[in-house]
Amino acid sequence: MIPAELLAQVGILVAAALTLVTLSYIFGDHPIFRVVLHIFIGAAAGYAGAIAVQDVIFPQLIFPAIELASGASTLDTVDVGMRLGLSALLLTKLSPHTARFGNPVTAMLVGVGAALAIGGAIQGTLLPQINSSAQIFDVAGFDLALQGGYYGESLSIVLQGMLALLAMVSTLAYFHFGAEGRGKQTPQRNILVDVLAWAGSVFIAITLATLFSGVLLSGMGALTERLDFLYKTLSVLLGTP
Amino acid sequence: MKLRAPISTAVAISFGLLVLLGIFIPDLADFRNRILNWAMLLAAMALLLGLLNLAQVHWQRIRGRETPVYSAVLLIAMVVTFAVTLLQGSDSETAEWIFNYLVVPIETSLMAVLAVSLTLAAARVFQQRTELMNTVFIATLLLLLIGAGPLFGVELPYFTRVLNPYINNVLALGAMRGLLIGVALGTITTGVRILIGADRPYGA
Repeated sequence: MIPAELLAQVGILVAAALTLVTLSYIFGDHPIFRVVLHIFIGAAAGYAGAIAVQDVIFPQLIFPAIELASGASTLDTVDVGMRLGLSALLLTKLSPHTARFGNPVTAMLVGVGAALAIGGAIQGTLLPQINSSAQIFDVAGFDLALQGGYYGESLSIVLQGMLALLAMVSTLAYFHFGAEGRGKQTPQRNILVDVLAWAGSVFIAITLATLFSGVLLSGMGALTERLDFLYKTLSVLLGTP
Repeated sequence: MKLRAPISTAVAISFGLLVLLGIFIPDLADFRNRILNWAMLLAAMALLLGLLNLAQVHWQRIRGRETPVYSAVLLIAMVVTFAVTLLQGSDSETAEWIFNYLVVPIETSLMAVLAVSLTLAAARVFQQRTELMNTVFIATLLLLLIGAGPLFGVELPYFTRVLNPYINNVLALGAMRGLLIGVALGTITTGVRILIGADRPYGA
């Protein structure tokens, strides 16, 4: 049995080496980086697969099947039978010769996924977003500012609400591609939609920049953390404080 | 007209409609939950199937001497991690060692590399074309980065406390709401197309 402390020290050295190799990709691709990338893909896939087997396949398929086979089960036979049957059909996808038998099971997954996506989009995105859009104007804040005589503040609340509303509507207009036919002329978008779409492109650029800066800052955070880790590991190795 | 994949289409439509109706009809909730449990099991089985397929592809690459070293490394890492995590449990010392000293450092380092790649990509966008959208994008990005925190130890209050929240909470929020509504409408359309059998992404 390897002592836990030694295991941790070896781990830190391995992590430092892997970090250095991965960061070296900044200067260009090389075979050692590819080896590290394949280690990562293998380990991550193996870990995800083991968790799926441990947390889902064992408790939902293997254990109920064993219980049913032992004869002392109180489980629903039809339910366990369906689970076994569906899983077996899905496994036929492993070979190109039998893959077509698995198509109905894939279809079931797609159908259920589509239904969940529709429900999720309506209940999780569309209704909450429409509800929030209805409250885009801070009415309570506007009222309070008006009563207090802060007219500048109340005007600012109205302008901010209008700007947010314009941003939302123009973004939706940007993705409107309907065009009207005009005799022999090429179909053209409505002029109002065209103007709104132009404004929408500006707002979309701002939003994409916001998202980009978020990812960039996360990346910077990760870079700082890794450089700090390397610095500390190197300090320990060289014996400097 | 010959209908393509009639059984699969019928299965997709019927199971999809049952799950969708289960949201609105309480009497169908039990049956809906049962279908969802089956789907969850099938999703885990599909993940396992993907793992087996990955192993199969890389085993063939080793046999065909097509990048055998990379494939061998991937297979060893996958088999060892899978076996250790499954046999000893995900909270065992060895599984945690693999996760903390192999997976996490590489993942975080790749995120760090992303920061450099994104910076270069942003610079290239500005170099190649100076259109309105690019200019707005770069200008907003610079303002947001300046306002993200103290710059060389100096805080710029107008950027951090006024401009940054204004861009995030007013300008970007409205457009983000528009984008989210657009994505939700697109998702509903795609889902409905599957449920009426117009799209069949599950083989013939």
